[in-house]
Amino acid sequence: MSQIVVNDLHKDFYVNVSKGSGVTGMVKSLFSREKKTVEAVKGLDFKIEEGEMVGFLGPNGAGKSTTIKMLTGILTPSNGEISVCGLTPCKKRQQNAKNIGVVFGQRTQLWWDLPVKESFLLLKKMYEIETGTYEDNIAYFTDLLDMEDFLDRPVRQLSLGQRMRCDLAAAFLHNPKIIYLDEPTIGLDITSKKRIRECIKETNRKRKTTIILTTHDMADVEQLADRVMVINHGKMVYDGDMAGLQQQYRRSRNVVFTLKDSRVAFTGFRMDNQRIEWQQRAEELILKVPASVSAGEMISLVMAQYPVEDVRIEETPIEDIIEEIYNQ
Amino acid sequence: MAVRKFFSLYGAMLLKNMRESTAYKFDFILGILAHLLIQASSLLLVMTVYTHTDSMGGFTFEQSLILYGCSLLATGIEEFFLHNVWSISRHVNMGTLDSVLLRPVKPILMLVMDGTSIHGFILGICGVVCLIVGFAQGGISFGGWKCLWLILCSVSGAFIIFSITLIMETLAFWFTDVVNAVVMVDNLRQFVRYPITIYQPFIRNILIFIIPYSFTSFFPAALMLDMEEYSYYAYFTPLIALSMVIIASLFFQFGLKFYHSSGGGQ
Repeated sequence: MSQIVVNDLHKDFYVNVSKGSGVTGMVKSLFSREKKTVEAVKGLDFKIEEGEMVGFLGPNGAGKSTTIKMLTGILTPSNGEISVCGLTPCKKRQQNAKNIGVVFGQRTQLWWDLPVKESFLLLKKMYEIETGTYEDNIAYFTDLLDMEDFLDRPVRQLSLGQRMRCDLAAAFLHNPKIIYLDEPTIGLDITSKKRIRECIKETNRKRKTTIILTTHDMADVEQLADRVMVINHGKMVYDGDMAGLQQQYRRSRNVVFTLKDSRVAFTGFRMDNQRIEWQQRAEELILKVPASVSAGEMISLVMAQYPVEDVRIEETPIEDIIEEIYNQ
Repeated sequence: MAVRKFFSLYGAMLLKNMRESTAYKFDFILGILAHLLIQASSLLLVMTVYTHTDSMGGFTFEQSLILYGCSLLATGIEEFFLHNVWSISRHVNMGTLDSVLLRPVKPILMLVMDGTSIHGFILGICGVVCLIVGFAQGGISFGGWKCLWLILCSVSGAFIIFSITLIMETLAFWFTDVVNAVVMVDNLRQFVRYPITIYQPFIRNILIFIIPYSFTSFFPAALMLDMEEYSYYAYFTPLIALSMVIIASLFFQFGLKFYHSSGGGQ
């Protein structure tokens, strides 16, 4: 059986509708309240195998965090079933907690006024980590995340990058089978991002830890995720690998020619009865090729008629593809 | 979780809490001074009442001192060991209950362990001082049996205060912001610092049967003072505490299902 199995998952929230603004609105809503149901997650189905690295994408408010919170047992689903390592998270919360590690990029789980080292020691007791395992892990992550310099400092004195590294190490300390990362690189500089990505990748490779991450940084996804799940309005819109995502949603790509002579004027042409959009700036000629048209054929056609120095194909950036899906 | 492991974790967490409370030295010292002042002024109020009368609800000054001491002892234990129950509504409102629910420890234990009010220690000491003075000055007998029941009743009293607060705080799962309601109910404890015999039967019955704060002070004090009319009630204190803890915990467990965290922005 798969490590994570989700069947027809739903989550509804009830929100109070405020009646008008200002003092009258306040008084009105104090005495009679109208409730509105918001469906945050509407029927998700998926399976995740041990050792997979899954990127969980979606615009703000799509239901990503809600789904993660149901997977971790924080929230109780309105409907549907979840099984994580054979357990129902919201019913066996404590047992489930030992199997998982969670990092919230926007909020630390370490103790604010406590030196990092002591937070780790508390986690050791809390998760009943064997001393040997604990020491190995501390040494491993201190080295991998370069934490030596600030282990003695209280969390409130750490920079965001340092804090995130500590949070990441804390989540891994008890050798969890699954790690959930909710925007682990938010607000970090390039170096910190890199270090965190490397740590995640390395640990996945060495320990077969399943990684599930939500992010808005496409570089995270490209470097970390073998598989992406895109949700929008609480529904799954894509589940598969990155290449498939590009293929399925790619509308066009740009073919850029460098002409030998800037005085040559391009006159445009049609292919398969489609007019090809184009643009010429001095010797640079850009043709927007629809996904249905073969780029190879088009290149040979252009090269037969014009003096071409150089050709390159620009794939649609993944950001644009994702934006396209989000706007649907 | 095995009992031994729980206490080992509890000890470590308590140490952490002490470190946290003393992390900001100025705030720490100021807090201690403020609490001493509050205790002194409350005591002064009781003393002032007794300059006008020899007996309040059938209690002499020394007897009132013992009543006051019992109340302080239960409050002190609650504040020192169990006070973090007050943070539930804040956690629910802010969505920070998330991290509590991610730990492999029962959420209510995790919450209780995760903070202390070091002032409980001061209250406890003030309570002991009141009791010693009351017993010595009033010439009231004290022995091993009473000592045992004093400890039992104080701990039970602490758990009664804890349970009532837990029930009130749990309402946050439905009403989100409940601080005012919790404070209102908690303020009823001011009543039981005086003999409940001075109140109307209506208020008295509320304090015995509905919100049983009188078991945190009046009845234990009656037992200490050998007041046969009321002292029998005191023997029920541990039982009441136990059942209230069970009820409150179940209610909290039920409430957890309605926790809806906070949005992704957190």
